[in-house]
Amino acid sequence: MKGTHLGEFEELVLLIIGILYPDAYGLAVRNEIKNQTGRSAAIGAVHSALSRLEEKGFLKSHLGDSTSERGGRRKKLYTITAEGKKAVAYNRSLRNQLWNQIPDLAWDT
Amino acid sequence: MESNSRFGLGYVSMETRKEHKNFRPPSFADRVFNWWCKPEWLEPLTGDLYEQYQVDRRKHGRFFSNFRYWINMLNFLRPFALKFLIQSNSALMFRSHFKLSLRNLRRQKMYTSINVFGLTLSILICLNIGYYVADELSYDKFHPDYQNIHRIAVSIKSGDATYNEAGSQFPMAHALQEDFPGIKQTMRLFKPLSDPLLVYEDKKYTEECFFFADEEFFDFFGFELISGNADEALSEPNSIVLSEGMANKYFGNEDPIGKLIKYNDRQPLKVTGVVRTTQNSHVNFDFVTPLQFQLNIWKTVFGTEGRENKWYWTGAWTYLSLKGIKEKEKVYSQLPQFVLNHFPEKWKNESKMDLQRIDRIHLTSDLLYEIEPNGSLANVKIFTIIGIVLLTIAIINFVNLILAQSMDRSKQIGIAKNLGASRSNVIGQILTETILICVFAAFFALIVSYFTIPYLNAITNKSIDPTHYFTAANILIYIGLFVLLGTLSGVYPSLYLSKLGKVTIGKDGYGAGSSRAWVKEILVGIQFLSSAVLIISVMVINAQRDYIFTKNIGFDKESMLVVKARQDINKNYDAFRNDLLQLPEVLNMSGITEIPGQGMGSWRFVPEGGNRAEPVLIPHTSVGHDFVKTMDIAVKTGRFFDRNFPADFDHSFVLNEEAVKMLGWTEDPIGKSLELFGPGTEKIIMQGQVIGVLKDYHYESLHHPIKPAVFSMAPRFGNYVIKFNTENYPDFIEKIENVWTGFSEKWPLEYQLLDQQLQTLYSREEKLSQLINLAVGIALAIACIGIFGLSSFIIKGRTKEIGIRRVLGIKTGATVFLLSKNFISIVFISNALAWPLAFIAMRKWLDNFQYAIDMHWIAFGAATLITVLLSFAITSFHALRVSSVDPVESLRNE
Repeated sequence: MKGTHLGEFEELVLLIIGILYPDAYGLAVRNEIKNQTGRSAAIGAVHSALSRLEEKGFLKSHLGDSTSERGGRRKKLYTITAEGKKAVAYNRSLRNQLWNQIPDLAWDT
Repeated sequence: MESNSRFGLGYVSMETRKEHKNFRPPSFADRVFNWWCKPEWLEPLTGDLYEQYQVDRRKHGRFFSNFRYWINMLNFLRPFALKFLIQSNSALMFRSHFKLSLRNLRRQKMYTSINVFGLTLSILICLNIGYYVADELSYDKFHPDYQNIHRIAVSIKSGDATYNEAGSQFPMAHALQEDFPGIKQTMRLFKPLSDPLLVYEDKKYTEECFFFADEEFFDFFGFELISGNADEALSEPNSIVLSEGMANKYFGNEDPIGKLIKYNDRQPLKVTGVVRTTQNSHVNFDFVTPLQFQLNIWKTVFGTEGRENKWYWTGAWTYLSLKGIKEKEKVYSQLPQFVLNHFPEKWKNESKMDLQRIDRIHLTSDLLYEIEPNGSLANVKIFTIIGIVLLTIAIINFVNLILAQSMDRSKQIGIAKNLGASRSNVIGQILTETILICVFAAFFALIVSYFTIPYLNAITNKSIDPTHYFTAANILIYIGLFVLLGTLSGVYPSLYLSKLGKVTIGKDGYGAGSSRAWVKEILVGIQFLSSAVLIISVMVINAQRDYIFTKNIGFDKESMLVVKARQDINKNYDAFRNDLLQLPEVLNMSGITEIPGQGMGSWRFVPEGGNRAEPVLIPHTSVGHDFVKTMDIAVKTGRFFDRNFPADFDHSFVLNEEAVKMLGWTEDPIGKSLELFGPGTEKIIMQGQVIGVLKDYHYESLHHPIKPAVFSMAPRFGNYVIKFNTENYPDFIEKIENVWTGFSEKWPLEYQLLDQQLQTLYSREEKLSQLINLAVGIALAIACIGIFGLSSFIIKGRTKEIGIRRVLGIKTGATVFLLSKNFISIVFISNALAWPLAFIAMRKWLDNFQYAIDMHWIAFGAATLITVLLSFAITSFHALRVSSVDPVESLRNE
């Protein structure tokens, strides 16, 4: 169970990675999270989540080009794997499924 | 994943489309990061850091960006990026030690909190002592080239009396400059004889911290000018440089530069600079004006016979700067020749000169005419010693408490060993724990110390700001120190505990009275010893302080108001005095020159039959008719100045007993004649007869013996003393003020209570005793904690023995005796050692005083009694607890 579970923050990161394709790397993910949700995540937390997601097999990474902006260091670029897609999709469908089961009456109280 | 060596910096040079220069992040942070970051993560992570840094730098300052860089870097301290956690076995072990230590500490909350509390408290006190000592040591170290700046001290012998003065003669500076090629510059400081009144528009204040200085002032002193030019600020005689605070007081928000302040409401002085005077210096000034200004005034008053040319008057402070450190010896060795060449005939053979390095003046110089009372090296030493003792006690405690825990520990260790832990594992575990506690306590103390600073400042009258010590490097050193201390204090317990074998599982880990017991006994002995020394010292210091405050100083200081005299009042002195005496509260009043307790200047006298070429130096002051009655000073023989004898005004002298002794007038001194030289001149300003002798009174602080003194009638006064008799002080002051304003429109009334004024003479001792009382109280409390822990340790080990004895019918009282016996003998031995130690230390301290108490055996007895009672109370507490347990309980446990 633990292996496939996707935490809330992890899910957010995974989605952002998708949005940023093909240029998704740590700092960009953090900035995008800030832009999209207003949440300020610590850079360490983002990288920590990325490494966890890669470990679980939801992401894969490769080293990209270097730029002078980064003092010549290459970016670690992430892309979503099939496993990853499955995991978000599962989360999404689960949520929708649950959402749909809520009777309209429940919203009125 | 491709593993990259270092940063891949090689790419940078190939980068050609550089749009702008990149900012360089702090390289130290990179090195730290490099050290712990996993190699495969290094490149993407440093890249991110670098990129963010560029963004930050474009928006914010360097400091903020660097700070962010560090924070972000430290944010990567997470398992995924850490090199050590996974790779190194010892790191893994450390993590386990760390976890176990935390669990252990959390489980034993009581023990942990006692430990941390005791340690924190003593570190806190040590920190405060450290701040104080660092502040005292920092005096005058901010001047550029301070190692080459010296002040001249002069020692003049006259008759039997020697006058060691911080002041020197006015012409000395130029003579030094001419005679010694090794001297770069000289500079004189001078304080006006009476505090000047400074007037700017409607603002009028008399200013105490007003100095005249040669224009080289800013070449010597490193005070920072906020505005104005240091090279030119004092080149015009009519200029004035003032401190930041004073600029605010006189000019508010206006720009002070170029404004005119009137000196004594007459001569205008132009503001040429504002100085920051926050650094510690033995010269605390609010205003500096060129000495030339004063010299010009003297020239108009005294003509060519200016005071500044005379070698009689030691009124200035002379500073010199040397061309190099090596010159000091040369200059020093030629000073005796300099004295012979320049000093007046009479002083030549018996006078000496000395060089005082500027940064040592504050702590080591205690001469006549210091610019202000200096600090005391003895106090700094005492506090350093107290700090060390306190820390020692705390560390011993700490060791004791950890040992005391070994009962529970022995089981844990036994199990660990059975499961294959090596001895070094056990040692590592215990060391981790002690280091953890030490570092935590140190950190905690550091934070708390920040909040105790205002109290320290209040007690010491300082304005210490320790935050400039709080640099990353200092904090690292500080924490490092406590890691070391934690290691040291963990060494003995860990060696001791790790030796316990596997077999000890389920057994009490130690035997009482084992061969190692003497170590614990020595430890506890040291604690008793230091406590006893501290108790004795504090009692002696307090007794000395009380003695000073209550010693009969020969005059009345209670209910005595000292009012600063002014020209307007001096002119109408008799009328002013009459008006004051009309007030029901005023018992008597008199004009005086120097405030009693603050000493007198030395003047040149020629006694009957003496030679005018060889005058005698005697401290001299002039007073009003009512001086003796107001101050309640006893007349020994003859009479004091009297209104019925108008000739008293310029033909009569009164001596004190010491002066009679000094002049060798063993038969009746009344009627002997004396001549008095004017200051800095060859003129005799007064000739007269001795009409009376006063009993000696302490006209200086009790640090000095009573010296000879000559009194004459004063044409003008410096102060008035008013003896009053009322509880309603505010109303009384208001009445005085009413009378005052009737005589002086121009000058404000300035007053002080004499006993308060006198107390400032002893503020050093007062401060010392306050701080020592506090420190000793805390040291004792900490020692108690230690003794408590250790006795519980020893007594726990005898639980079974007590159980068996109880079965055999021992009484509770006998149990207490049995258990205390051992402790009491330790207490006696350590007291026996403490007595001579404390005696020697206190003897040395009392030598600082001219009038010191004799040490009383009571202080020593009390120390012994207190420590004995203390140890007895603590051991009986434990003993009662042990003997109240059902023997079945204590024996069942195997």
